[in-house]
Amino acid sequence: MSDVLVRADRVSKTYEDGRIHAVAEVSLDIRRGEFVAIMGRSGSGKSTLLNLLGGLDRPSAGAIFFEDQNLQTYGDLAWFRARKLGFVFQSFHLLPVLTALENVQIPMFETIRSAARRRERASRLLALVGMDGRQNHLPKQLSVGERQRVAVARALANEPALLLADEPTGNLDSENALEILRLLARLHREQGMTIVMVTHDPELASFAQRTIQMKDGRIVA
Amino acid sequence: MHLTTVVVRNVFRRPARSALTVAGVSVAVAAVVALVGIARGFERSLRAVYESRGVDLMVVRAGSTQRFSSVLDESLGEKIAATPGVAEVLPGLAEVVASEDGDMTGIVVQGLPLGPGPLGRLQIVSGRNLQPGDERVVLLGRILAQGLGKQVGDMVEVVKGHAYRVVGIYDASNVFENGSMILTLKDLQRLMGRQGEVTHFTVITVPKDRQSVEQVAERIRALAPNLDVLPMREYIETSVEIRTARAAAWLTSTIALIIAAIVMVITMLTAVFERTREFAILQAIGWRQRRIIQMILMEAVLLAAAGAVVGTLLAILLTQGLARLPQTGRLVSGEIALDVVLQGFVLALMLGIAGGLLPAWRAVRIAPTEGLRHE
Ligand SMILES: Nc1ncnc2c1ncn2[C@@H]1O[C@H](COP(=O)(O)OP(=O)(O)OP(=O)(O)O)[C@@H](O)[C@H]1O
Ligand SMILES: [Mg+2]
Repeated sequence: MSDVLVRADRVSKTYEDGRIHAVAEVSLDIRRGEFVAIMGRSGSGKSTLLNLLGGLDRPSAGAIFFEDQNLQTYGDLAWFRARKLGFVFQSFHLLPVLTALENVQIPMFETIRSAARRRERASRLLALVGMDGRQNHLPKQLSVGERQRVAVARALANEPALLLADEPTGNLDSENALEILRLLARLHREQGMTIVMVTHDPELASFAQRTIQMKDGRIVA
Repeated sequence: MHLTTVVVRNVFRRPARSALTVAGVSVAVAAVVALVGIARGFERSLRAVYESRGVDLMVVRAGSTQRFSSVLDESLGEKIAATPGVAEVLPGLAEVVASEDGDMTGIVVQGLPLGPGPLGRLQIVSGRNLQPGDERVVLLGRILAQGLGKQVGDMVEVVKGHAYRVVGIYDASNVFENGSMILTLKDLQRLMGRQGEVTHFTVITVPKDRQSVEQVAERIRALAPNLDVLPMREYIETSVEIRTARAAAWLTSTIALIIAAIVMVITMLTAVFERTREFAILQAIGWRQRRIIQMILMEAVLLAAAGAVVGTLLAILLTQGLARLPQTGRLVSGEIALDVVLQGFVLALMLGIAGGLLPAWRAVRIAPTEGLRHE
């Protein structure tokens, strides 16, 4: 197994018939077990790049290789995302009608047949992110920091190879932001989780081993 | 947790909107179940007219879609009577007239032969039955008498310029007969200038098993050209009255169904639009489009099923209410056949699936990255 988990090979993403170059010929390797931060001004293409790495979108040019397999060869990227990817979003995006425990089970519908096993696994993941006491709370009954922990547990639902976090602390105060970063750092350290995180905050980026700077769709540092 | 849990929670997320959807479906289901049920009730009571007399076959002029447009020679009755397997044959003349006195139009006038036949079996609730030697007298059905405001001894203008005296009022067990009037066959033939003509013969056969009845029908058909000899059930099912009642029921139901489908699609589309980002999230975290479609269809079907339950209850209340009202009591039996209820449920299910498909398609048509940008 190669050391590189994800490789972007001269990847571009254009919008509006090529008038907008959201990502322009980006080449990038993410190694297994790496914790990478992506920084850059608003509109520099961070989210677009993250979405391409996670198979949420297909590139306009170039190719993404995940575990040496070109993502283009997957007929259904949902299958790939369910098994290989974990996403954490800025606005948590938990389903409002489901409890913490139920939200974590959502991705498991694709991978685990037994409802009892889904439940049991979700329960363990909530314990892992320090939310074991709040399993049956709805998102609106949780603090924003707690919601993001639940979202991290949900991202871990199917033991992903890669955790992608797009400004995971963007809606949190500095205290909670630090908490989430500590959680991600712990996952990286203790479980060897590969993490790519977008952030605006240099202090939070310092948790990562490597920081990528983007400008106008290109990697500049 | 199962997918059904997610479905149920989503449905209860917007109680008012879900209630609107359920109401839309329930009105449609109520319309279908009540109207089709009532039409079936008509059919049953019309069939009862002849079944109570034990009539097996109806002989009419071929090609006459309506009883009244048939013309047969009265003398054919003797030939039918002589046919092996025929136990009894009775001529009948039916005409439609408009009443000058009341506001009832299209009143059926039956001309029946005197004797122990259907006339003899008639239950007279006021006055007397027709007798030999009667001339220019008439029996009124209970509902018709009420509608015209006539009592025994009053005069009724059957045809303009021809006033007949009411000698009796009868109560048959069905709405059709109770809404008509009866003259002796001779009287009606003379009044209409149709001496020697009848519109139909009713035939009682022995034995009554299907095959024997069909054999008798075959023999009668051979008696004269252009004869339609129909088993009673078939005659009733193809009659204009029943076809009209059915068509009216289905037309109204179809309109109700279309409205319900529109309500369903609009409310589901709104719900799906509101949740655009949610579907994007589900796709982002690995849900296949199939599962999202399944979830939305299940939500739609759940709403439709609730609508079916409420609609069936409404239909039962409605028909029971109509059955109790004096104006409609004879028209509506108040009971709904199980298969009509089932029909309502199947239609609701189809409504759910049809109403859910477009929103479901709309939900997965948007790429996850698009949906994530959606606020
Ligand atoms: N679906 C789209 N259609 C059109 N333009 C798009 C689309 N998605 C992204 N863009 C454009 O591509 C560029 C990069 O967008 P992207 O969201 O990747 O930036 P970002 O670095 O994540 O910004 P932010 O820090 O504000 O989240 C922007 O100019 C954006 O307007
Ligand atoms: Mg972004």
